[in-house]
Amino acid sequence: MRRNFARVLSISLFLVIAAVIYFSLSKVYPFNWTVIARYSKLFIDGILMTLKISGFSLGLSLTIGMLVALARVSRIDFFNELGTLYVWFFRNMPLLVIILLVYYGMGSVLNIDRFLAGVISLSLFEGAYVAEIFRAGIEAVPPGEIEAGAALGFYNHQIMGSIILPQAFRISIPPLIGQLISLVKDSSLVSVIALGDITMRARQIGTQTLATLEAYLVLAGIYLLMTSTLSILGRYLERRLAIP
Amino acid sequence: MSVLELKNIYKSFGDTQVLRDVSFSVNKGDVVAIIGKSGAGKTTMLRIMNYLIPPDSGEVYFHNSKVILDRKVLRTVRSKIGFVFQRFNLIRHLTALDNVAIGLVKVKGLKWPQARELALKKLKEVDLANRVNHYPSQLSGGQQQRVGIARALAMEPDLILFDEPTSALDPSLVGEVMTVIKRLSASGITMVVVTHEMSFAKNIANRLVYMEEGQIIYDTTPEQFFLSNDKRVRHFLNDFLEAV
Repeated sequence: MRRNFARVLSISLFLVIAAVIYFSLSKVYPFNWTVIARYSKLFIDGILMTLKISGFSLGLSLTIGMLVALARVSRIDFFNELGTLYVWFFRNMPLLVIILLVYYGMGSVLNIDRFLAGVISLSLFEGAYVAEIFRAGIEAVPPGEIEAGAALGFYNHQIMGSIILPQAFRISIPPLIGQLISLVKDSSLVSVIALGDITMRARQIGTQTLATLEAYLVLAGIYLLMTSTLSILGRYLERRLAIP
Repeated sequence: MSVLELKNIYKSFGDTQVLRDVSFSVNKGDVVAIIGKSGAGKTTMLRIMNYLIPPDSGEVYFHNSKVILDRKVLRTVRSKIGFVFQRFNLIRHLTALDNVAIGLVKVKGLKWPQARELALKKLKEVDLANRVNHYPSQLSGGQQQRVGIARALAMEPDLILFDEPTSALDPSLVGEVMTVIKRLSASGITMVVVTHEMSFAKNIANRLVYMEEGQIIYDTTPEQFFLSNDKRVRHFLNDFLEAV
């Protein structure tokens, strides 16, 4: 009850502050929403592109993350080092730089298109974080259960497949949802290679209509909507898959 | 007829020598209790028996053939040696039934329906027919340990090793687990039990092994052991009585 009251109060405060800012801005800045409404189709195109990039990158970064995590927990030193190097490189490199390198580097050599360049860059980058999430999940599985598998006569790959990974995956879900939300937000950077995601569309609409601030306000709202939906879905998934 | 034999086993962890020249053999039908102070090497000895820990030197023979660090050999040997852990080590994301069935599927190659059928039978034997669909976290310690015993039994082992099966339990739950172990010993299953339960050592076991500082001091019948005038034994028993 008190909790709910606090929530209502804080949301009201937030809305009041937003309204105050909006109205004081409107004194000096002539907001023009009608022109923006005419571009709704372009916004939707942008949303779809952002979702498409995020979806493909999610799949690829989970794959990369799993492989790198397995390399990092491997008993083979070489794989270990390789995994460590991967994580070091991509966590110490700004995503924007990766996008530029992939697009202008790989792009010019292998002739890959913008979309692929965007997906590859995002996946390489997020993959490093996903790898760390999976690794932490793998290491959180109690050693006693691994021993139990060994004592039954399991091969190592069976211990990995039937005992470690199913648990590691469940343990990883909450941080993975967080990472997915980061991925959606980070995908805004692919607009620098003129991939028609929602950020690029908003910028386009802003320049075309001169209603720049309006376009960016809509953009902000869209991101909030997308990420909040994801975190609700994530909480649902977490509950569904929780081990009693 | 020897089921399992240890020959001149040495084992150190870092600078601490845990086992010094231990030789020991289990025959078919034996119910061996291993007792001794903590740190005497009891658990290490038990773990060397199914090669969960490989010895530094010395040999382990299972049915007179030498156990070596080879994945196929270990799989065969371990699938025929049940192991019951002090802390149960059930697999958290599996129900009681699947905890018992998984070894049959992954090691013995049964299909899940048959494995579950057999698992159900074994859970009945440990009085858990009404808990098959519970997850480990939904079971009491005593129930978890009985699932652990059913898991070992389901593999139809030639020998079951118990590593202090009741030490992690609330005193009120020791009874139900001991009842099951007693029942097993009466059914003729060969077993080796590291225990602090003197009543088990005295009344159920037909062989008693007393260890001190990494060596087997006595390997005798319970009657002889409890009547022994050996100072070390009297000391151990006195300390034990005082602790209780």
